[in-house]
Amino acid sequence: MNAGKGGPGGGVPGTDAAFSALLEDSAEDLYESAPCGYLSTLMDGTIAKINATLLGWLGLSRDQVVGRMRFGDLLTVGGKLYHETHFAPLLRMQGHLGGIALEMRTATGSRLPVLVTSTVKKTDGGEPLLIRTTVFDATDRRAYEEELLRARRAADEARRQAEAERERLHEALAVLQHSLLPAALPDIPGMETACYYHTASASRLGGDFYDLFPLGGDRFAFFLGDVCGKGPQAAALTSLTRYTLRAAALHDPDPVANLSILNTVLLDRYTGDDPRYCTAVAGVLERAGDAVHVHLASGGHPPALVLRGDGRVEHLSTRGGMLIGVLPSAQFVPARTTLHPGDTLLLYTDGLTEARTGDNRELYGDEALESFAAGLAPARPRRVVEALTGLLHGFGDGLDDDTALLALGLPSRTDRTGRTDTGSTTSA
Amino acid sequence: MKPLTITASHVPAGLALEVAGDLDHTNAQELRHAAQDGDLPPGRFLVVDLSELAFCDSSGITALIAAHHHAVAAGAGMVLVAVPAPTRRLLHMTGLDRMFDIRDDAASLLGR
Repeated sequence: MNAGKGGPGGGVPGTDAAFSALLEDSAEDLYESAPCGYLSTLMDGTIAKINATLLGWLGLSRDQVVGRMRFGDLLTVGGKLYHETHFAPLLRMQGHLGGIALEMRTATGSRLPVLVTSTVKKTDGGEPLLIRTTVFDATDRRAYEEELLRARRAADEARRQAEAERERLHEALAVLQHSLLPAALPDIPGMETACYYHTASASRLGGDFYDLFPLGGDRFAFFLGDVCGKGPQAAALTSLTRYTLRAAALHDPDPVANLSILNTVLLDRYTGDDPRYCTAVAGVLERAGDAVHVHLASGGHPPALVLRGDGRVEHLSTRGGMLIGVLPSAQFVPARTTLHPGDTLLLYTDGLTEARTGDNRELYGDEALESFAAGLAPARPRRVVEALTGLLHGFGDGLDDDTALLALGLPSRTDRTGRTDTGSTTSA
Repeated sequence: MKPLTITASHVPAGLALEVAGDLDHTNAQELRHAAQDGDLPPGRFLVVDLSELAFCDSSGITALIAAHHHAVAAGAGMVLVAVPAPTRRLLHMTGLDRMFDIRDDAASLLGR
């Protein structure tokens, strides 16, 4: 700095003088016309001195203010309160207070947001003498802050709405999903039933379905299947499939005929380049004394398993039964068996057998399932579904498809409680 | 994961599509479009060569069905060539082996 280089004669005097003249004519003018407000008050707040800038902002004259008003009188009611309870005591204690946001009240009644900094001037003896205060116009800054606040409130509101929307969608999906599955399996005297539904994704409607319902007398109908695809289109297809099979079963006891009706309905509904189809096993249970006759048919579905009371496992071959909804001339293949006490019939969808296991992500497969069942047999339906649920959980990430299980059986003579169990889970 | 490539070519029998890689729900639409966009005169064949198919899920099967329906609607036939074992098992399970004309060797169709 030139000023530091010593007195007259040093540096470049001509330049210095021109500079000063250009900069300020007087300290008084600097005080009065500075781009911020200045005021000095006595310790009780009475205004002793105030600059023109601040008077201009407030729309007041010097005569109205000096000796007549206190600093607090320049503030809004809220500002005054804050000043008296916080600002002034703290200032007295610390001797300095900076960057405090307050609101001043102008002569026209409007508010002026300001940033206030005050310093206490003391006597040589250390006694507080007066308070010097600078006032910065914070209108722009306040407007900016308010804009930020408004934007944040809007964002909060948008987020709340989105969350509420998502919640509603979630509920709607759950209701739809439930409409595709029975709320509870009916009680069938002398039989035990168990089912399980694994949803691969909580946010997407699943494409597996099952049902069990009375046909009157000693007969019950059941079905279980899997529609192609996922999401709303799959749910619509599931709905059509479920109610078609229900109506068909009430109308005609022949499962092959029921699948043919479903085939016709799906072909009629989904045509051309957007084929939609399903696989399904549908059948009828008929009580005959101590046994239950099962008459079922399959269209493109993995074979049902029977876990016999003596520990054997059979699969009911329905090979050749075609996907339902692909060809007008599709053939469906029937199978019959009889369940005796201790026997359990197991229906499942291919989420189970197509699960990927081990480090090589190999398909779990039909053979592995039959071995697993052989390890369980003899087992009542509840036990079979429990064990398979455990197996499914063990697949972890390897299970990326929906999976439905339905087990129907006659408890062995030594083990009769005829309970019905249902369960379902959703993996995240 | 192996990326899917579909190569179309004209062969004496009609239109050949070589499908290589993984055919699943992310790309099955490409096979549908390849079948629909190809020039397939009535009386000829859509020959789908699956010898390099690495994986096929139910969406892939759906695309094959859509391609079949498209060929039939055009008055043409469809032949599946060199179907890998896992896909063949799936076609077997779903009874589709009755609908599709499945051949191991289609040298005559492909003109090789």
